[in-house]
Amino acid sequence: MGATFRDRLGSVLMLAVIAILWGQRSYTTPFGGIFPDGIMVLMAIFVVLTLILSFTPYGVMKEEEDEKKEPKTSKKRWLEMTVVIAILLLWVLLLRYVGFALSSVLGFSSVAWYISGQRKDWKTIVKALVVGLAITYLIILIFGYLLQVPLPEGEWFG
Amino acid sequence: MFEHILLGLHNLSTFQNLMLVLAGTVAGMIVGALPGLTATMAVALLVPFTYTMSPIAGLVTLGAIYMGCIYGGAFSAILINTPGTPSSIGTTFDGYPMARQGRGEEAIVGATVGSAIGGLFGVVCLIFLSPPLADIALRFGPAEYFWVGVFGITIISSLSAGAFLKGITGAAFGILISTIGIAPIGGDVRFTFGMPAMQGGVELIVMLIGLFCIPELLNLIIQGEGQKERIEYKRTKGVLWKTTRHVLSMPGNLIRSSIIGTIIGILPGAGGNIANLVSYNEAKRASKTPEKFGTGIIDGVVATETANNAVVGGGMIPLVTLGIPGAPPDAIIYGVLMLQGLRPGPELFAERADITYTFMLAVGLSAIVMVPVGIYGGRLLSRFVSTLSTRYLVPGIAILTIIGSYAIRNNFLDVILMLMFGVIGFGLRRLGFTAPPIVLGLILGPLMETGLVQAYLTGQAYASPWFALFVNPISWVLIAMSLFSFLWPYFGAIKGRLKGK
Repeated sequence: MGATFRDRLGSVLMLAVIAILWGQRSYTTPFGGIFPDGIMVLMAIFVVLTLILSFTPYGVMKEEEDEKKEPKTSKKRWLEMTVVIAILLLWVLLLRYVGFALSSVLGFSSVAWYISGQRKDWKTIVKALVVGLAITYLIILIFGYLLQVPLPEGEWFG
Repeated sequence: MFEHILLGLHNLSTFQNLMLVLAGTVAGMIVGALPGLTATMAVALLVPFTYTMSPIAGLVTLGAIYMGCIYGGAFSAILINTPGTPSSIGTTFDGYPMARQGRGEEAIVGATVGSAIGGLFGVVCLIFLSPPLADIALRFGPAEYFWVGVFGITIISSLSAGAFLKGITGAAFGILISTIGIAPIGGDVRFTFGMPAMQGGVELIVMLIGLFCIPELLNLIIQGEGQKERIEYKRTKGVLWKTTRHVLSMPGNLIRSSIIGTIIGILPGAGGNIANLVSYNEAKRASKTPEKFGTGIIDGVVATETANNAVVGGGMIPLVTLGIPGAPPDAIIYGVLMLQGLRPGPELFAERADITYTFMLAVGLSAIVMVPVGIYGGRLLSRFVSTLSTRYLVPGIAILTIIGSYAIRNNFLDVILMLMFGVIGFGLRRLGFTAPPIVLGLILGPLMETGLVQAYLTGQAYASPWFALFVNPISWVLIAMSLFSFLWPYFGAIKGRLKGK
């Protein structure tokens, strides 16, 4: 991703954020909008300035030398990252229903197994499960029992 | 002030608090030594350990974690040529060559002594500079607080790695996020998208965990399991004292680096990552043998490690006096102070001096504790850290972020928001919007809004209510400082272009 493209994409996304929040404006007192409206206007000015500069030789972001030398991140790595985000999302959603213990054993083991790179090796699966189980229960011991931090029990079991 | 210091020492001397300082320092050192993780992330990850503690115990632990974390980064920098935290980038320049030459222990001892001296210098400045600054801050009215916020935003934007517009846009984005929920004055419900759960606004710690931890976690996946060569070092009789004497015989380097670290720490948003490189450069410039820098000279290690640990105390000065985090990890401490019901700012000295002084002294004690822990436990620590695999580190970080975001309000929405902000933060970082300006905007937003609206209300007697923002001389000073930091990057750019011509 080039510096100019990043300037332009960033500006468009920020303009979208401003537009969405501007559409949500509904104040009931004269003071509620003074500050956020002012910030939105200022932010829009900065973003438009960034966008304009991206069409000139004075673009906001500069291509770093190191960046040019760095090998590009492979598609495989991006795919791995996307899958891990999906696993994390599932983990978080499961947390509510099955509780911390089960969701964390499953979530931890799944992430550990997936990023190990040896997905077909049954030893990796067993190792990921055992480590997931051990870490989850160590955390329950520390947080749940020692520090008395409330951990979700899960709507299905709670 | 001295009675408060004595009270702080008394509070700190309990067995529980001393153990918490030790545990916090060790935990910080372990996470800090993990390559690729920032100090801010380390502090954010370990925050849930303090949720159920008393304010004193929680802050004592957190302060020790922060100090230990910055120091821990030196181990990976010296032994595997990968800085544990960005605060130790400069340490690799001479630390790793020293380790390769079989002088690993010398480098570790140099880093340890430098870190302890820098850490203590920062804390001494924190203890003695903060009360008078807090007294000045007590004279601030709403308009001055608004301008303090503006100054914080402009200065962090001008430090945003050469991309001022990106920095200030990121800060504005953070401010806008801070306006979600009920308005501080007037009680308007804003930007909740019709969701009642959003009326309370975005929980600061949740957003901090998301913005600082999830992008690092995703970066770990992208970088993959790199093969790192770790250099073993053995403890040799006599090296400890010889190196300590050698380090102490360079007071110029120690004092200069400590001052650089403390001043950079005070600047909002700038942290150890900048301080260690600036002090390395200054040590090189001041040296009689600058050509030796980069070949394995202990002066370089001492300069960087002294400066990055001095940042810890320096960064807390604006935090405890004005409620503005100096360095990024201070943003997490800000969040924890709020969580514990303590409002960062002059009130900390006026009303909760017992807690404030205990906290500051604990950070100083941690700098002392680092010495025996680092020297006698350093080898074990580096061996442990190098055996940790990314495949377990990534889910390990994930599990702590989940606990950290859930346990604040026992709210599942917070966990989802944390993950969402984390992914957004990762994307924004790729587009040039770094986390520190966004976080500073998030923290300063409510302060600025309250100041602005209150000043507007008190200015009804003037021809225009906005005049209230400009009537006090303190406001003029703050406006001048804001203008200077706003225009500074442009002066720099123009100067650079003229030089180029």
